[in-house]
Amino acid sequence: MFINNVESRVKKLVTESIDGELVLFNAEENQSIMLNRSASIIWEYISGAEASGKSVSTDDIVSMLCSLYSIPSDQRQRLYNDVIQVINGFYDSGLLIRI
Amino acid sequence: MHKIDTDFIYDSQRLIFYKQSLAADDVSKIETLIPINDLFDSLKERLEAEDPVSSTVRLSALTQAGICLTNGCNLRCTYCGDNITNENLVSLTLDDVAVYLKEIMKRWLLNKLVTRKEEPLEITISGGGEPTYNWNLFQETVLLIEKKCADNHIPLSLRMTTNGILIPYQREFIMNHFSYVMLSYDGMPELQNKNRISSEYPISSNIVEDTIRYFLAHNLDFTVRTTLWQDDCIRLKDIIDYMVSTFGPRIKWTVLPVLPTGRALNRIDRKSDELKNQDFVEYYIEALEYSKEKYGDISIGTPMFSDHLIALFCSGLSCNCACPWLLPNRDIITCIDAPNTKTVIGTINDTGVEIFKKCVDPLLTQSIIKYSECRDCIAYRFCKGGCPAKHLMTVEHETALSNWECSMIEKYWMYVFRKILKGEECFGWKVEPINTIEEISGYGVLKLVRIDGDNDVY
Ligand code: SF4
Ligand code: SF4
Ligand code: SF4
Repeated sequence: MFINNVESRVKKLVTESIDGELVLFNAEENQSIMLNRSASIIWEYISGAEASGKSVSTDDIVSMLCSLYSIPSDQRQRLYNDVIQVINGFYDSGLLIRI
Repeated sequence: MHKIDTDFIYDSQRLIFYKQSLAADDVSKIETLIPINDLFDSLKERLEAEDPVSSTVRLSALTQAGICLTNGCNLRCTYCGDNITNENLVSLTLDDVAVYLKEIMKRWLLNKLVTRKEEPLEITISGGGEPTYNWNLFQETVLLIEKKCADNHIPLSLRMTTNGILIPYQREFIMNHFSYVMLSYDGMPELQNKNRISSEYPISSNIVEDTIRYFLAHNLDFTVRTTLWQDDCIRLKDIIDYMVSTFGPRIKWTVLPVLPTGRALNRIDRKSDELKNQDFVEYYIEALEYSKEKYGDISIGTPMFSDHLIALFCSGLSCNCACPWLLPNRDIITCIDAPNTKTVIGTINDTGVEIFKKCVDPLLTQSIIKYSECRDCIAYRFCKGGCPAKHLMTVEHETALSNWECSMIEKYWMYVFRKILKGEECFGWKVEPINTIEEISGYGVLKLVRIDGDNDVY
């Protein structure tokens, strides 16, 4: 899949959730990550896109979040920056892998 | 190596005893053939790799957590380690509990993913403060925890401590919702009404005894904890008689001498020489022998002396935290039993629970010192350098009781070893000959083992 035009893949993890917040675990590397609610939603969106062979962009994710939470358009830029940060965090922690 | 009586040497690294009369060559042979079963070096390395002023917080998957709802209390016990006065009353809100609980449940899920087991999530509601002091908060907290765990299919075990000042419907609520309770009662009315009172409850024994009777009648799993001033330790046999005659032989009971901290400090300073000479271990052992002879097997214990080998260092270190505690001021700490010196590993802020990456860990500083310093103590394998919180109490305020506990622990183990070397069983321990190693089969080497067969030495 492509994320913002960068070819990437999602790491294989087992997941559980509490009230919509994800707990992710990779047994091979004994790596565990807990996500807050918005990071969980973004993660599920990206993994869902990969499973159905689609690409995603930060704009797609921001639009999804704006409609989900009825976020006014003047806050879109701030949200955009937050989403970029979350995606970078996924790369940094190895949840997303550039290929 | 420790000399036990005139005959035997105890090798604490191998958990064996051999005759003092053995020649040096024979001892070397024993040492070569029986490997050291203490992980001292590797654990020491692990400890020393941490920096106490910027220690890495390791809090990952877990199955245990604690909540201290309030620092308020309806009693003013003479020895209260937290010096509770209700002057700076602080309590959590239900929102704080909910936020913390979510974090704990996520970490429990992580444990499920990692271990592929569903151990119950054990949540303890305790204090320095009485958990039931703000009854509404207590009740709502319990119901919230139960609901959230049920909604998320998490098996739950609720535990609590209480001073037992409860009215009938409170007892019933506790009985219906808790799987284990630690209830404080000082063994007999005379001592309870001397130590555990307040202007509201100048006589607290009747109400607490009613609570004990209620819990017994309803088969709740609970332990009575008695805290004794050093000069009351002489009353231990009377207490056993009173407890068994009043509540019957099913009662589970533990006893703990007062620690030199909080409200106890003044009195300990004032009566220091007298208190120092009170030999808790002697009274305790005498009381155990007495109760065994008179009542058979009844459940008596003390947290002073561990009855198992200790594998690791204190679990209250930030690098080794197994059970985080949420305090009324929203600090998240590693150990509820460290009254003055808490290791704060996180907090609740506006966005939720924040677990720090690094923290200052005063318990770690002490653990590192004691881990090596205590290596030559006879009790080392059962103590691993002891409780850093207690060591810190003595660093902060030296009292006549500063080394009191260590000397009691050393005495206790000397007593156990002498007994078992006479071929008797003692407080869960015995010796067995080592016959499986042919080269030393005639040397009379004995190994230390537990009667219940739980000999996991690490
Ligand atoms: S019941 Fe506990 S918290 Fe309350 S005064 Fe006594 S020791 Fe302190
Ligand atoms: S050893 Fe002491 S400091 Fe460590 S967890 Fe136990 S009570 Fe707390
Ligand atoms: S009893 Fe005291 S001296 Fe001995 S290991 Fe424990 S803390 Fe150290």
